[in-house]
Amino acid sequence: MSADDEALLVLEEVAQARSRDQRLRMSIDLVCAAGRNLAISGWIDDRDSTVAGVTVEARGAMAALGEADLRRTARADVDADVNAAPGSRLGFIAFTGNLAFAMPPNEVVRVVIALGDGRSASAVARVRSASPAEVRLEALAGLFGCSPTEARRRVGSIDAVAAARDFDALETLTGPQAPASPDFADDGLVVMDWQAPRATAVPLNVDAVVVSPEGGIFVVGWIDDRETKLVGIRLVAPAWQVSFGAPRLARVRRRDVEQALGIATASRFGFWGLHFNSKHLAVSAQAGCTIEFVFADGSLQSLKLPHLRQVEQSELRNIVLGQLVGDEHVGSVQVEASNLLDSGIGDGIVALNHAVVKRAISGPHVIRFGKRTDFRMSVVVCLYGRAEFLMLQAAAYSATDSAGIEFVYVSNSPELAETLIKEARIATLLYDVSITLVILSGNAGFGAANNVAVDYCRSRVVCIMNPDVFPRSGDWAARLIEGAASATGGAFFGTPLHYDDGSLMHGGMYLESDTGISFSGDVISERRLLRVEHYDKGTPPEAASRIVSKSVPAVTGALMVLRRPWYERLAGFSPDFVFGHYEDADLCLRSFAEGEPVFLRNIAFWHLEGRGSTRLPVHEGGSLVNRWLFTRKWLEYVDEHGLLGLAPPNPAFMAARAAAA
Amino acid sequence: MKTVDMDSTIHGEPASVDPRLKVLVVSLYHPELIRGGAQQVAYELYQGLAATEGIDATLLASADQRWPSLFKSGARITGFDQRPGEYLFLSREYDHWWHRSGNVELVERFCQFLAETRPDVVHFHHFLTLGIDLLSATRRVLPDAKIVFTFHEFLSICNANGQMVRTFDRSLCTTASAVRCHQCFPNHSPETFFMRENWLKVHFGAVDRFTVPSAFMIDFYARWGIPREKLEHVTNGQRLPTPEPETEPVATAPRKRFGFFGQLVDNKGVQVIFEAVTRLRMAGFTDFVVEINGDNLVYATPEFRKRFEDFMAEEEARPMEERNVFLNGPYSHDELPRRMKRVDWCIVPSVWWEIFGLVISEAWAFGKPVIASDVGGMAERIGHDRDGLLFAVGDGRALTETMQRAVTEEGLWSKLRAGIRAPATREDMTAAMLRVYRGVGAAESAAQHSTATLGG
Repeated sequence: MSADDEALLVLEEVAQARSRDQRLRMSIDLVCAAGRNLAISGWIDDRDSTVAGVTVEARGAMAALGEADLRRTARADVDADVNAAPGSRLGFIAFTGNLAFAMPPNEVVRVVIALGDGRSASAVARVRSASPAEVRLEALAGLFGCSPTEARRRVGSIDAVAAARDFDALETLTGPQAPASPDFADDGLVVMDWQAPRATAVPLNVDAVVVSPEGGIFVVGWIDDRETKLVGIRLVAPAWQVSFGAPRLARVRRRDVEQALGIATASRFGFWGLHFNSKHLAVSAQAGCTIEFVFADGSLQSLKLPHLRQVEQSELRNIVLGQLVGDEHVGSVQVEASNLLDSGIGDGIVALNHAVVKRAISGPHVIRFGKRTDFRMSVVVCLYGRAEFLMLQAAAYSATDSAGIEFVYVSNSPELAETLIKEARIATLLYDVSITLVILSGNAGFGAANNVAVDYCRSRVVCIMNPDVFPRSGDWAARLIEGAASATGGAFFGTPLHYDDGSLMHGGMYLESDTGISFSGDVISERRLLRVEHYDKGTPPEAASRIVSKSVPAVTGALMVLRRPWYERLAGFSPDFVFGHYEDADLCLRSFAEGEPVFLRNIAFWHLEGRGSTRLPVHEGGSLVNRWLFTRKWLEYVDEHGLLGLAPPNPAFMAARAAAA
Repeated sequence: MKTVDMDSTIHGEPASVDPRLKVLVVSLYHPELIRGGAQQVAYELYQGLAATEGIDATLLASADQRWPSLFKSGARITGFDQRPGEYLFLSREYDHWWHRSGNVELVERFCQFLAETRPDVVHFHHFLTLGIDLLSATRRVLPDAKIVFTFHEFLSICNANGQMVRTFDRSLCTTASAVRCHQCFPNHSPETFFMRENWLKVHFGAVDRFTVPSAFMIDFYARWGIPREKLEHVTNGQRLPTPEPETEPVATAPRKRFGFFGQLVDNKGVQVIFEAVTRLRMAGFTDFVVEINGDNLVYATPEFRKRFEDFMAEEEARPMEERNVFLNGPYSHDELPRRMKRVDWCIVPSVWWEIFGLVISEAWAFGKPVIASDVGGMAERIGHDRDGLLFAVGDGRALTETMQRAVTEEGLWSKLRAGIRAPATREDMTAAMLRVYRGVGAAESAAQHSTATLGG
């Protein structure tokens, strides 16, 4: 597989744009750019009108794409979601090689879709940086309804693709449009030439194949391939087939297999793989599938699995994360996990998580309690697993001066909906409170849920707060609002948080890196991973009360205050992170990169860390993914900008350095 | 996306000009349905208020599913047994950890009840089965009403049934903290206790005045965080049955009959009596009798239950002439005179703080000196060698010596009997509470009940 193919297989940070206009249902799936090359794909339900053009707004620049730059595509997945007739062609792909300006890397842009009847819809998205050829292949992939790999295969020379600057040029390259490939067929993880069946069987087994009809396949098993190396696995079902090249398979330790085979040394006999491409998968669990193992000597060994386990994609995500966290490795767990996530599994998990989140946040049920409509600040609280914190916070904050404050509770636990509605009703009987409940249909994770909740805020100041955060002073609200109005650090700040015994839990966050080692055969390699730490954790109450306000590399998502325009400028939390962890530091670093380091303002709160929600083993799997993702995204940047360590050398953190000294 | 606007605010109308003081007594349980000290006191107060000129008294007492037929379909608050002024609060979905009801309609109906009755004073006797958050609801609906709350034990401070007895070694506890409470309940984190305390305190913030039936409780609650100036001691008062005439001359009868009246559960300390009985026998002192009156053994710990049953089985196996301990079983209020007549002394060996000890009042009403543990409400009420005898709490050896002294010391019983003061009456308590309602310090009149003494 070429480097280009490898790169294309990596589904990088695909921003899950959210329509700000509820009247027009739309989504931006991808914004991909390289200099003056730009491809945008997505869909819009414009059945009662038609798309007239697409405008892209970046920092200080704007570009309009007209009809010539647009193609409409069939989106069977969308048709079903919006009750459109099959083949309604609600998808679109926009492409140009002549953008009016050079798109900066990782830019956050606003995409505005104008309709012929004068209406428009917009969404904010983060641009995925790519090569010019990749941008074109994305455009072609959108046209063909296939993967970029398949698109490249169809058009042949990559050089010819790179020279095409508009759709007309692209289409002359491809000739008449080929029919869309069947679901998953050759969806391009690796192409293997099948050879003769093996004469002697390799010890192996498949423990399970788990399939989500929404487009995910998970396979797990073990194989003793010491004699002849495994180069790939192919799953063949009546309605689909998918291949996993060996580089895309996680290889992990299996003590049970070692024991069964009588092997005394730690060996990677275990394997597992994830494939996800968000296409509907015709699954017949009863039909089972054939699993073909291909070896380096060209031989083939197959296994018939009579039954597939069929699950929803959220459960598939949890199964994969559970596998990840349960894996046993020969070297450092986090490093080995990061290595296997690099293989494409990480991107698969992110993409699968995106799909889960997209479903969870679509069509939230919103109930407002209280008649007031104008507020000075909106406190957004994400609930998961525990409902009683609504009542506890309502009581605690009602005992303070909280006039003009609204609480927006977003629930990641659908099973709590009825209880939360009752709690909110009781709260309005007991106190003078304004509560908005935003009930999601599934667990969207911390970041995505907060993003949805902010859409329903009715003030210019947003306070993201954990359910287990309580006020230490009666004037907390006035001080936060005053802080948000401050010229220094007013756009984005956090506060110290204290344990219930008064000692400090959080005084801002700094970044550290750990170096761990991994083993691959005889090769031992090092890998650095970023980690976030809380300043002064455990500092006694007396010293904690003397904290000075200052800029810090990051603050915890347990309590952060942002002016709403700045929150929107940053496009809120990244939806890439799974469940929770690291999305707060990611938001802070993006703010820093945009010129606004976050601030720590000395307004104390209680934080009963970890008590406000339920934490399951699967969340640890999410944390592994998130740390890997955070490191991939920020390690180089952190090094380059002097953001590492308790006393980061970057001049923005002079006060933090002095405090650390 | 569906958006629903909801607003459930209920506000009381401005109070009308009414010279009568309207008092709503909110009680844990109706004593007619479920017996217990707190509800008995609340009901005594309600009756006292109802009988007082110028007072318009209403009772709202809770009921639970022990009487399911009282839960009329769709009703949350109903009248009670055709008694004017008495209402039942039909407790539902009660959360025994957070002490609140999760039933919206119940809370809503309570708010409406307040808005309809518009009392000047709302006096809560406990929050159990009612909900601590009804205090905040009351303040919201009746911003000008006076809210009074009576503590009947330490449930606010202590999750161990409010007894402040440590669960792992049954030692007495003097101070609650997040970690100490976590030690008693390892399944609940310290943070959970931190939240519990703050949750309760938020709602106690709505209260104007707190009363306690024993003065020693004031220190406990002040340490816990209730402003000391809001705490007042108002002793419990009650109407007691008239004693039956003594069958033997008071001065000459042998005083070797001891009685225990109360629940047969761990904290009431009947096991201390058993230890003392065993020790007395070992010392060859057998000329005495102990009568056990009470039941509810089912609520005791399995360990206590086994110990109790083993002891009684062994006792019943003895020849009649060798028996010292007799189990009389449960008794009704009406039977009390007859049961009391059978004993000379009442033993109150509680191994917890025993907040007030209604049994002490009952013993005194029948002229029986009390032998009691030297802590809490018992130590506060009983004057050692004046009207009773105190012994070290939980100390079987100390009780042994005290019982032997009680039987053998000539003139002791008569001296102590002569020192007994009449317990506070319903009228005493009502008058003291009215002073609290009207903002006058109750201490002078409430804590000091009648100084009349019983004749010897």
